[in-house]
Amino acid sequence: MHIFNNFLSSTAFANMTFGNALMIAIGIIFITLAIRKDYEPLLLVPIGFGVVVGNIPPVEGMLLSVYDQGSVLSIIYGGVSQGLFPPLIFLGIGAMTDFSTMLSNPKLVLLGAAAQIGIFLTLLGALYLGFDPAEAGAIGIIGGADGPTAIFLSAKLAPHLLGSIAIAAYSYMALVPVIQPPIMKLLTTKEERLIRMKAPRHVSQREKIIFPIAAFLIAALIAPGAIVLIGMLFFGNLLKESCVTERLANTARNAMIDIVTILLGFSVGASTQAQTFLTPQALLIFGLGALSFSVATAGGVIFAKFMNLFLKDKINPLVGAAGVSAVPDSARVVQMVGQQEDPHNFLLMHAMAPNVAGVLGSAIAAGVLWSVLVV
Amino acid sequence: MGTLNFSIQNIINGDGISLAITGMVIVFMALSIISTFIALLPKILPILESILPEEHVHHGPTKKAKKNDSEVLAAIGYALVKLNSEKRQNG
Repeated sequence: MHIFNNFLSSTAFANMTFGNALMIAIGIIFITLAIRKDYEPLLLVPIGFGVVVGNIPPVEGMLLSVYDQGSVLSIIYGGVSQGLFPPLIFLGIGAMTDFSTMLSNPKLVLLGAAAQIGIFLTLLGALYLGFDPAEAGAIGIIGGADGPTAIFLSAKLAPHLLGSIAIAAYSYMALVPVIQPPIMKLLTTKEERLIRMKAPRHVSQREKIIFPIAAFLIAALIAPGAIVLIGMLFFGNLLKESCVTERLANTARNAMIDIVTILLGFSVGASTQAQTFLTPQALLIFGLGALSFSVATAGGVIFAKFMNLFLKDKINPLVGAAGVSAVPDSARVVQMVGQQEDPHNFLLMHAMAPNVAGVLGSAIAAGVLWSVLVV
Repeated sequence: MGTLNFSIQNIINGDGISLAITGMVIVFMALSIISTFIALLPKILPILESILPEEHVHHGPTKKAKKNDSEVLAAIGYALVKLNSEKRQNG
């Protein structure tokens, strides 16, 4: 019996808490949502399984968890905590992004800027709730609807909140098709949702090659804090558009981004140990995250309506909702809501312009917050 | 974050309003300049004609024959053989 008791005390059962069990259940819910509902499966499966792994209670004397210096998981998590993985993901995103729609209709770029109001209003909300300015900045970036940017900034400004912020950001990104449509419908009339936009013009290859270099210089000179994210994004895009580095572009947008997504998702999930994750602050972060997505969506739609006051060729205000990054999900939501009113209205290509501009906007906002708030 | 303390004073102490306004202005400024640059790009392109011509001549190695080119070659060969044998029969 004594030997059996000793064995029991060395198993994870002995240290299992209600919080660990709850987090394991949450991890399984993530995996289920990804598999059954197809909600961001490439992210939710690694994160969900990481949550399950991270909440197996550690055994005394064994270096196992993300927070045990020298453990395998802590080495993988180093890519998150040191801010290595997010820029690599941006490289892959750049190598798969086609900026043509944005280049053909430059005024839609402004919608990507307007949607960033979600970041800054959430920052104010977080300050009001008692978070310090660095923590508030890291929470606010959830409104950018860009997982890698949220992870990058919270690793710099508030590493202790990284797990909560990453999980909140990715959860709400997966829920974009649920969160956005009611706000879009509430803020637009039927006539506005029926607006058909002019077909985009042809964009030459020269424009596509010049754009990443020029846009990087503009963004980096205005907000140097964004150099890492924006630099990798536009470098990846140059690999794609230059037509002479197709092999590199292929690796960046396929094998590399997949490897980094697996490592990032799994290690972020594994960092959500109940003891550090289940806190009142985490609940507030989730609440603020929902608020920031809603405000960002509303900001884009309202600004599109404002622009229509001055434009001869009207913008369908629904495309403003794509200004929150969440590429390409929010653009798909715009297409879906638009087609509910007019099945022959194709808004996807128009929505991709504010969508990719939103990626730029949130990365620039992250650069600003990092340079202002870093201690 | 220590204890939960909801107060407007937190925003004032953290210089939140000016931070939010400055951040939004910088994001708008950067994207407005990028937008203006994109709008001007078609006008800039003719100036760059000598450096970056529209018809780009690629000096890299020539494309290697693909595996399935052999099927095309076989078809051409078959057609030639057939043509020659028809000529011989006629002539």
